[in-house]
Amino acid sequence: MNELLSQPALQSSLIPFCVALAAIVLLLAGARRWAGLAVLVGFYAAAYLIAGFEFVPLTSTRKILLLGLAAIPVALVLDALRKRARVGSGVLFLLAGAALLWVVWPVVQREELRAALALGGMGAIYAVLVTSFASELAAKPRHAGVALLTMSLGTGGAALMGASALIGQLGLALGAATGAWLLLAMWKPTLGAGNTLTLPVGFLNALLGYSAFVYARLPWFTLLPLGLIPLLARFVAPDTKVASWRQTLWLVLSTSPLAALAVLLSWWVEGAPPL
Amino acid sequence: MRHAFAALALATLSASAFAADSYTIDPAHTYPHFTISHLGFSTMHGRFNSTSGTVVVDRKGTGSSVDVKIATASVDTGFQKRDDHLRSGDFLNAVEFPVITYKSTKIVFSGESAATVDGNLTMSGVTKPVTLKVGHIKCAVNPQSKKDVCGFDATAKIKRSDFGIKFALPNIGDDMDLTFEVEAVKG
Repeated sequence: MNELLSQPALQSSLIPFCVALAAIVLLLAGARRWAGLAVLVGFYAAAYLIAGFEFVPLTSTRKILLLGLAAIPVALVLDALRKRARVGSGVLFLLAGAALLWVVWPVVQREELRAALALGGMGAIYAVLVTSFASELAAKPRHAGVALLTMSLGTGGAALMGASALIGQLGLALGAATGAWLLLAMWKPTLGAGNTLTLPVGFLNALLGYSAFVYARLPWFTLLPLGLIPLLARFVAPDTKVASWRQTLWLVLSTSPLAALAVLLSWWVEGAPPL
Repeated sequence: MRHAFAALALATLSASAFAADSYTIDPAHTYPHFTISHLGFSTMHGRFNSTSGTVVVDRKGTGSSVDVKIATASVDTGFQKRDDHLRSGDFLNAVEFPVITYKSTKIVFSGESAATVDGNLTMSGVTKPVTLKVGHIKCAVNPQSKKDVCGFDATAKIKRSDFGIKFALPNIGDDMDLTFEVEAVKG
């Protein structure tokens, strides 16, 4: 059993998928509006196996895991509020930028002022944009599920090519867990996404993607297609008269080329991962 | 009588001060090497190309010390892609922890050419005690540079998991054999 649990391929695919699926079933029975949390349950089960839950010394990956957890109560509060004030949203997204700055601070502080501003500023903007684009999909569960699925798989795949199996595995695990949620969202079209799904998962994607650029060798330009995925998903309008699975398929076909482009660009620059 | 004791104490101190010779590590002749099992198929060898530090040799007293700094990003296994992976957060996390250090806490000489060095190895932000076994020591004038040089070869064994480097365990080995070839120039 231990041997199975230590298989990287299982850690970032079947395990988060199955754990997320089981969590959704449980949440549907008791707390339907928080079903999006199941994705995080699946992700953190995988993260426990991949990276462990030790937080000393506090490395960038451990900061990401902590920040993902910190985003959960924020998302719960947002879902509890009926109307989100514009000022509140602004503060929230600025916090996302500040959080990313904290993750990359060990590198930023060693750079010259201009390079530090560019590195930190770009990262903060990336975190703000990706988190806000993802958050805008809270009211569109199918769009949210597909966007977060393809963005997570794209981030994981690109990071894997960019010489960080750890970030790659975490990204793929996030994708697998989101896949479980999407599967149920297809089957139960009334399942709501809410901020509990879009905010932490979008935020984690931003942190993982930018960290792979700063701490591994992910080319910076691969972040462009990845960041555009949730924005594109917002404007894709599948025919609502067709079956749910066909609408989902249309969304996947529309957004996955951007994820594939990110992986291909990373592979083109960095080559295949060393196995 | 009091003056005689003072003179004796001063003479002892002076002798001790002169006996402790300080050397600066020569990076062109100092390389920490490591070996690790690759999936059980073979034993992979690698080394770090950039090392600095000081060595103090005090055979008669207790002033001997070793203080070594290794540039984490200088890891070299002869394959660029694997080296990039070793520098990433999966293994050595060179961006966040750019320096690996070893500081001795106690050195015990056994005869002319052997010693045991107790000290602390700090890698990936984790500090653990590591004992180096020194099997060869030579301090003499380098016939080419005419400078006073001290050199030694040392070995140690560590577990990478002790330093929080747990990626791909147990497939990629936990046990690492370390070998240090060190040369240091006086002054």
